[in-house]
Amino acid sequence: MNKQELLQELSTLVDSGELTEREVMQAIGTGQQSSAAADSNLTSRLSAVLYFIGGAVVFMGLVFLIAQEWRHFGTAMKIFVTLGSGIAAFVVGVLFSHQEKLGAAGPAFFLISAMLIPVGLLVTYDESGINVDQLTIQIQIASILFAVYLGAYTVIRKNVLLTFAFIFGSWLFFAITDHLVGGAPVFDNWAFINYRILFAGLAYMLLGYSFVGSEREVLTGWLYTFGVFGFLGAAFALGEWKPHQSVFWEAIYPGLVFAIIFMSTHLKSRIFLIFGSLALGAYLTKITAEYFSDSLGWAFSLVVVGFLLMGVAYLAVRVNRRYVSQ
Amino acid sequence: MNPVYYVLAHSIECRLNLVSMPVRLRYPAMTMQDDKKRNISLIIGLSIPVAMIIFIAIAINGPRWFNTVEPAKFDFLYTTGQYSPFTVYRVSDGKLTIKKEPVPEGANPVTEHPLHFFVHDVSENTSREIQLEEALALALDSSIRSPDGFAVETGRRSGWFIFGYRRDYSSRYLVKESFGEKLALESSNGSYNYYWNFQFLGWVTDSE
Repeated sequence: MNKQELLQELSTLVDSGELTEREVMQAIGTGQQSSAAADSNLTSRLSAVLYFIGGAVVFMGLVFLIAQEWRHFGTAMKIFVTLGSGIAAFVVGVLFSHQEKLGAAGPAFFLISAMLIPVGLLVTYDESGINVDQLTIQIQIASILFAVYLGAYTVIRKNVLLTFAFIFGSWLFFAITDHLVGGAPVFDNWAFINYRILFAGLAYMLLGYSFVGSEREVLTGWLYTFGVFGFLGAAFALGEWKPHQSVFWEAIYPGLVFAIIFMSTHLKSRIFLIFGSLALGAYLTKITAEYFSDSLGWAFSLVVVGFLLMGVAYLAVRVNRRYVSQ
Repeated sequence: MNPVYYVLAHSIECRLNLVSMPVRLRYPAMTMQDDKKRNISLIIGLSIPVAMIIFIAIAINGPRWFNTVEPAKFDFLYTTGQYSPFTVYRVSDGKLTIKKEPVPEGANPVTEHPLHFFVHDVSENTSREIQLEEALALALDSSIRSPDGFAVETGRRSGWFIFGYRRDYSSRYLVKESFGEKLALESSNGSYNYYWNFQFLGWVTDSE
């Protein structure tokens, strides 16, 4: 009996009721396996967290170590200890990435490199007498880092590299848009920042969705979190506060929030539901304080807001139970 | 095939062949249509930042490229130098006026620094120093916006990522709608037009 016939037979038996799913599960030991897999998963996650904490501590240690001796370093030494250490950490990350038994050691070294290389590049520019406050320098550094981490990802296929490619890509986006506007005060700074966060958040959400079902799915949760938070946070901020409020943003905000809550049911995503509910609560509080606290009085407004927030909480729990958790 | 069977079948497949579970089998309900949706969202997600960069480039340069903003016509008068708290220069009834405040008794002596008056030619973006007598003869409008809609505003300082954005008081721009041109102003002490020694007084209405 070949594999195909075996699967066909299994399917027929389950269809006819002679065999139940439970019996199959027991026969192949899936129950024990999944329990063992869960334990193994937990251990590997814990190990990854410890690796990353270790990486961050190593970075901090290096910073303190370098800072103590910084004044005594010449130009070459300054570049060597910052950029050199970053490149060394990157190379170690690449080498460790091929060692499965080392778990998340490779990503931890990529974390160290992602923190050290930008500092190293800034030091290199600064030591060359170039003002690093210039946006063109920011664009150059962000471009280098984005290309390095995205390029490394296409070869090594480690999600941590893609994560840093996202971070440096976002920096590049903000630096380029800022550079385009230049010093002319033609855009309101507050609105300009928020519009960019709004669209970056939208892009994160879409990219997160596009990763579902792929090897990059582990990034979906993070992209949804930062995407929804950025999107709803920026839209909320664009509404501003009386007397400078934007009627347009205040009017469409509930629509955006309900769209996010609706998406939580479609995507089965608690992140959308949690941030959507929090945003709805924040919006109701803001609108009550802005427009009704004078007429209703502050104390009564608080009572109203309290009940509204309870309503939002009830709605969130209902939506979660009925649509998201299923 | 029922997704449950699909996973069950694959569990057996894994045991028989020791293959790792491919992504599609972890999502048995995924269809080609889902793949298409995800591809579309990937393309749109990547296109949004690019589209926004193009949009901002057009919004900033569009007024220049398409000449949607008419060039500024009105020059303006400004001063540089350290102000005395007891000498106030103000535009009143379309003319520059000088009001001397009496120095209160017992006040510390104040050193009077000379003020410098400049007329900025907006068409050439150059400043010309003039004497007080000439300034007093000019017809002025002290409104924030010129009759043709331009204003002199401080620049903006870029930030890092989303942090550190603020005003740049060391630069000033002639602004109308989304058009902004950096002004080459003069300063009295040799350094560039610092905010503490620049004062806009009014648009020269007879300079059109």
